[in-house]
Amino acid sequence: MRDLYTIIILASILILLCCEESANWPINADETAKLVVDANLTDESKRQSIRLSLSTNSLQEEVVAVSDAVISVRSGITVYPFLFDLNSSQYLSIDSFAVQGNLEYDLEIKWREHTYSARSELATVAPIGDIAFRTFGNTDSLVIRDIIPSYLANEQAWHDLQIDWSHLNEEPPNRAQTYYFTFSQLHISQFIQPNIDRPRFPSGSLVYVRKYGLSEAHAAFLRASQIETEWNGSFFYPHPENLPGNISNGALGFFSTSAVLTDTLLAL
Amino acid sequence: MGAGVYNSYVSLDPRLSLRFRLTQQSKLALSFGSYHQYLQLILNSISPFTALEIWLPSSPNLRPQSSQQVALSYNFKSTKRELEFTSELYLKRSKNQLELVPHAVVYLKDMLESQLLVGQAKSYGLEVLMRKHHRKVSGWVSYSFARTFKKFTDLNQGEWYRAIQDMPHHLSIVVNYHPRERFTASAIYTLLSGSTFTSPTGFYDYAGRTFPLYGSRNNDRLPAYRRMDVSMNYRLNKSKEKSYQHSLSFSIYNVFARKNVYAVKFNKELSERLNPDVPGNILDNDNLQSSQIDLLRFVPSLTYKFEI
Repeated sequence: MRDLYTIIILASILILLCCEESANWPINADETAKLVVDANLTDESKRQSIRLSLSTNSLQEEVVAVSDAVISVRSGITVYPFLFDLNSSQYLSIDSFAVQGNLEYDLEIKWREHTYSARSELATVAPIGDIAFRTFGNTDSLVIRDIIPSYLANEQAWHDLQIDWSHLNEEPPNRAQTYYFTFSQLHISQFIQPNIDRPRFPSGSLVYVRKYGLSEAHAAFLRASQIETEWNGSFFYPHPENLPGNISNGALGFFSTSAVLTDTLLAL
Repeated sequence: MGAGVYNSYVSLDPRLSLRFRLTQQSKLALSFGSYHQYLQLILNSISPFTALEIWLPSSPNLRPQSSQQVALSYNFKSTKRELEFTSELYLKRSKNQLELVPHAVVYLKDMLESQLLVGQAKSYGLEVLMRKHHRKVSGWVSYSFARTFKKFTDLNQGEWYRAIQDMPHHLSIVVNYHPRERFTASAIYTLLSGSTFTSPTGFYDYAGRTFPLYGSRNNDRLPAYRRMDVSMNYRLNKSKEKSYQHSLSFSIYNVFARKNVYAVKFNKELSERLNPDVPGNILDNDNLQSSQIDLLRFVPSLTYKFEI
């Protein structure tokens, strides 16, 4: 009888063993690094920023910033030149400016004898809705409640939540950042997602909310980015594909112009 | 929309089959066939599970799938030696194959057809089967070499690529042991090439998150799939003449508990519990690593069967 119990327990362990595990999967790397553009200009009057980097051959490889490009953004007859800032490793516009509605903005990047360009118009943003917190399990830690809808028929938005509890604990990690997206298109993995390790933070943390409006093209890009990352790995997943960027000449990334709303919350 | 014929297709599907008897025990056959399929299956997932399975009828925008196949087969059967050998060589070309556009929108979509791409496919292969019966033991060995490729103008730069079904080698060995009239034991061994999938050729950062960069479609292949199943069946009736029959079966699926990988992911990190999780904190995004998901490892089952 004891042998039978042993067999049953061993069989149960074999059946119930975790079906996903870490693996060192070798990839067939493409040696040619590609230019990556991360440019989201907003309707805030400030020195706008654009980040350029190179693609890597592995997940562990450090991302290299591109610092020798010539960047400008043109709107009508006005040209906004950008210069590389060593402190932040990104390009900042020489003058402060805010993206205006009903205008087209043309990005031009000259780098290593190639020219990359993209066009965008200001995407409007709806007011920030309620954002609330709940305790995590039986701990005192808080997490963000899932009340930012991932689907709304008439609104597409990107919530950038930066959480700071450095005033409560000087030892890192004392900061976190997480994104929530709202799309007006549905995907099955929006609802059946793999396990996401959302940040946990102490009561009394400050939460800086930035909500960006999304154009149709930017929403399609970010929706695809969710399909390839955060939503990828549950029961259902489509064929992997590259993200539909809007930069010409084979560069990766996206150039967007968004209206943005901000708020600061105290997490209790 | 009123009642009536919305759209119609008329197709000619000729079939030709020629058989040559080489000897009393062997024959050669050559066949050609043209085929059309008017209902087409749309799946929104390449995982073993699907959340959308729609059979779309042909329409003005969606022509019926068509294919032409030519096959040459050889068959040998010896009743005296209870031995059978079959082999077939085939070549098939297909048109009007369907694939979803990248990151397709399939829910709450008025015109699903706008999310479809139309292309072509080709496949060829060799299938061999040998079956033998010897006293209390019977069984067969089958092997197939099969290739399948697809081509769509708007996918993979319009180049041919290996289809997800492209698993070149497939070996099956089946042995049945029948020592007594009421007892049968079976073992099945399967060895199959892993299916193709698209793995990244690089990565890049956007807004603090890491994204995969893909090269050609289905550029990679999963590890070979191996599985051994065993089963035992005992007929509880002493006589076959009874008005009812009942039996007891015990089987084990994947008896060696082999990890057969069905997906590889590049978007997870090890959590505190050492499980691969998707990182939700952008500031922790630099610990990503690859992970693999495997199918059921070991499943015993006990079945009681009652037939009237």
